[in-house]
Amino acid sequence: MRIKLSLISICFALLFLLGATAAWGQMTYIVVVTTDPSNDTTYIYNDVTTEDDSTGCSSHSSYHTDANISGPNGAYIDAGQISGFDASTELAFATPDNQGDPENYFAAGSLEFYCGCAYKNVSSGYLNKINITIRLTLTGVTTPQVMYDSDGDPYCHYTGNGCTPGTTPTCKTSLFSAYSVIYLTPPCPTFASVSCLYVTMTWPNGNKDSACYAWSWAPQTTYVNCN
Amino acid sequence: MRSCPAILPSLLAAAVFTPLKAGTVVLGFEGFACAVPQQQCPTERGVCMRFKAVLLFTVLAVMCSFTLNAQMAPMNHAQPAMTMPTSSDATQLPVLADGSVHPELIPDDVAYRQFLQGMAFPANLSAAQVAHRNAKLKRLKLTQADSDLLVNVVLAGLRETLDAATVLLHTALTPDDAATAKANRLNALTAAQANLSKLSTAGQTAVDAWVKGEFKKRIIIYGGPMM
Repeated sequence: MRIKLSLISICFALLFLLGATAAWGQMTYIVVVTTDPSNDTTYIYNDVTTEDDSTGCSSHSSYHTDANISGPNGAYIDAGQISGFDASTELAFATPDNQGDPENYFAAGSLEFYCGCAYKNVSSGYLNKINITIRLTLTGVTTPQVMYDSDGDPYCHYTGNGCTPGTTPTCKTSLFSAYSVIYLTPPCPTFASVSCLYVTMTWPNGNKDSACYAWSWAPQTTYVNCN
Repeated sequence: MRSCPAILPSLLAAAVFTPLKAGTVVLGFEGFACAVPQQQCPTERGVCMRFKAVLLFTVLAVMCSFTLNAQMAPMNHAQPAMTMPTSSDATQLPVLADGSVHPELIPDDVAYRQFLQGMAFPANLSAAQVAHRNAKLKRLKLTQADSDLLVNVVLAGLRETLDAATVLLHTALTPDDAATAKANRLNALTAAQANLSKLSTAGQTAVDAWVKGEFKKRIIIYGGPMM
């Protein structure tokens, strides 16, 4: 009887150990890190959101999400190790001049946490470094059209499409769009030049996204070449 | 000296099973103290074979208990303070799916959760936060009506719920608390995703195109078997 009981007990123990081994084998890290840089005409923002979908281990703790932006001349801002699954930071960028080189910024983020099953800290690292290039480009020159306001007063109206993302900057007046300039005091300058701010985000694999903003304009007495 | 109880392996098995239920470890050390009359127990070099088996299982049980304890233990909050994850000492996870290369490998639900999490701002925003949110909203190319619905209906209260879940997760004393926090988080994001149906058809299409197209590029899933 005692032998039987022992055998049964041993079988139980073996089954359990096999089960535990199988459970260990099923433990899998699954960590999602989203690095979502965005911008307006003043700031670059970097929002990092994360989640932990790991399976088989319930003792993950001490989650810290990091978001950072680095820029030219040593500019760097880090949201720090924010406790939880979100971190956000922003960096005001310097306006480049028309003839200047593009300015490069980088946005990255990570999730780190403590894994109680493996007794160690685990991190996604910063493989998601996104390059953000800011470039101010003279994209168009256009000629005016004299128009009249509701009081009958004349004004100069320049319009065109020079700021379409993904298009090649050109000085052909027919390609202008997305901006409209009003110059209130005729006589109208012969031309108006428009500069656009191009913000290009480049992912580590080379994929690019561009956004473009009509940034500034200037009256011109002669035709100017685009840069 | 007492004789080895035949039930000892059963007790050990029960002890090994105990952590599954209570999250604590109770080990049967009784086997170490027992002796067995020669006539009742076959021996090898004077050592009870059954005793050796019990000893073996005890060792295995101890090893197994450590594993289980790590899995099932309550969130240890004292420890993270001592072992704050840092980039330097954390184990870096490999990439499972890089959305910028293979967006099709990023599950839609994951992308939606991350998108909504990133769009969730607190109720009372500063001017800077409004600008930040607008920079993100603008990319969706929604009508003003849909933008308002997204902010005031779909995302209403989401940031507060997520932050509360994060606080609960970080203060959880038991695996159940942690599971509740994660469930609260998931439920809030799932509900917000369902509420996207309140946008106009065009608005839903625009959000869907953004999330499945551009936004997935921003996501990397890291992971692999637990090391």
